Amino acid sequence: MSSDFYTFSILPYAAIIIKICRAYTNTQEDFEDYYQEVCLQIWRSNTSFREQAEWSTWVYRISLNVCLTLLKKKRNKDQHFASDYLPAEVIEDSHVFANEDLNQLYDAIRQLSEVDRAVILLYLEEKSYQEIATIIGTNPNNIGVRIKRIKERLKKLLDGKID
Amino acid sequence: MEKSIETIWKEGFLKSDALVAPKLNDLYNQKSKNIVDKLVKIFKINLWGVLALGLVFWIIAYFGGVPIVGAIFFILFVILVVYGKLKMDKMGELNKNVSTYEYLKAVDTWLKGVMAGYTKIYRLFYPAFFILTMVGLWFSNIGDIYSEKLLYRFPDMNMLFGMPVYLLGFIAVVSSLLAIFAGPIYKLDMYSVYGRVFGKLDDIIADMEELRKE
Repeated sequence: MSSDFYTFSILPYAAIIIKICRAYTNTQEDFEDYYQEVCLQIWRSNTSFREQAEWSTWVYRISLNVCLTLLKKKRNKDQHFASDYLPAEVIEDSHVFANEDLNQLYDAIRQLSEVDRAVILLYLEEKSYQEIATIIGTNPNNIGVRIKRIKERLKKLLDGKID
Repeated sequence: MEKSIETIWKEGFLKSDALVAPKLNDLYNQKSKNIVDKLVKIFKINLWGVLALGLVFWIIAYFGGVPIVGAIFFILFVILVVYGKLKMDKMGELNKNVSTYEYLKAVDTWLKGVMAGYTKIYRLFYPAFFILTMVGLWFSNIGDIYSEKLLYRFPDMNMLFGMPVYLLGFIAVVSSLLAIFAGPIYKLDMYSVYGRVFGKLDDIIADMEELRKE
């Protein structure tokens, strides 16, 4: 990695990484760990990047893959350490954003399944169905239906706060 | 007024404080660990590969009717493995209680030492390998068929140690060339296996040197 890699290849796309990492973490500490790991993996995998795809699409894909992997690891670890005796994880950072609506939306997104979280994040980032399907590796035909279902779920979770 | 999730999302991220990237304090440590781990992993796989290859050569030579040549092949490969293992142990002794930069520099120095050592070994290994291959082929069951045909066609051919002098001359020339160019050949071989890791190690050291200047 050149010394400018972070500045020129990661930092302009930090918003993507932040938005995704926030959706998969409940604490600032976890968020920073996930963010760091995503950056590390983007750097590690930049040689595999093919010019046909957009760099931002690549960043989305790596970010989601890393978050999903870390979440899975965390879950396995939690199960391993007698989860019966531990309280459910507390969402410590439910007010990380100045905008309260956004905080509530994130809280609701965090209650979705991992893949649904990925789909809705990409949808909110105005990715096309085709791009969403490419990034999460699924059939684009089902994306529309899935988004509709997720939005209904979010509506219920936000208890009528959204239209 | 109720808002759509799309509106909440857009409005929520309008404020710049929503997207402040955390500092990457430990990134270089993680990257360094990653590179060194990868290097050690490839090195170990390579050593096992060399050992397996030595065994394969021995088996082929055994069934080809030249078991002694096979045994020498195996010994040659074992020398490579033993040297590598000793160097690996040395790497494990590198002081990790220093800064990441110092540790990486130590790894880099170790790596250069390994490459210099292996270049010396390969100066003997490559010619020996070639000589053994040629001698093995000549005296093997398959070689017998061709050597008989050759001797039948050129009955007045000059022979030395049971091999045609021309062939011995050819072996001598190629072996000498292999000994002379052992360094570049080995470098090529090394970079085909470790090239990417070496590149990353060089990059990260260069990065850290640049950061130290600032």
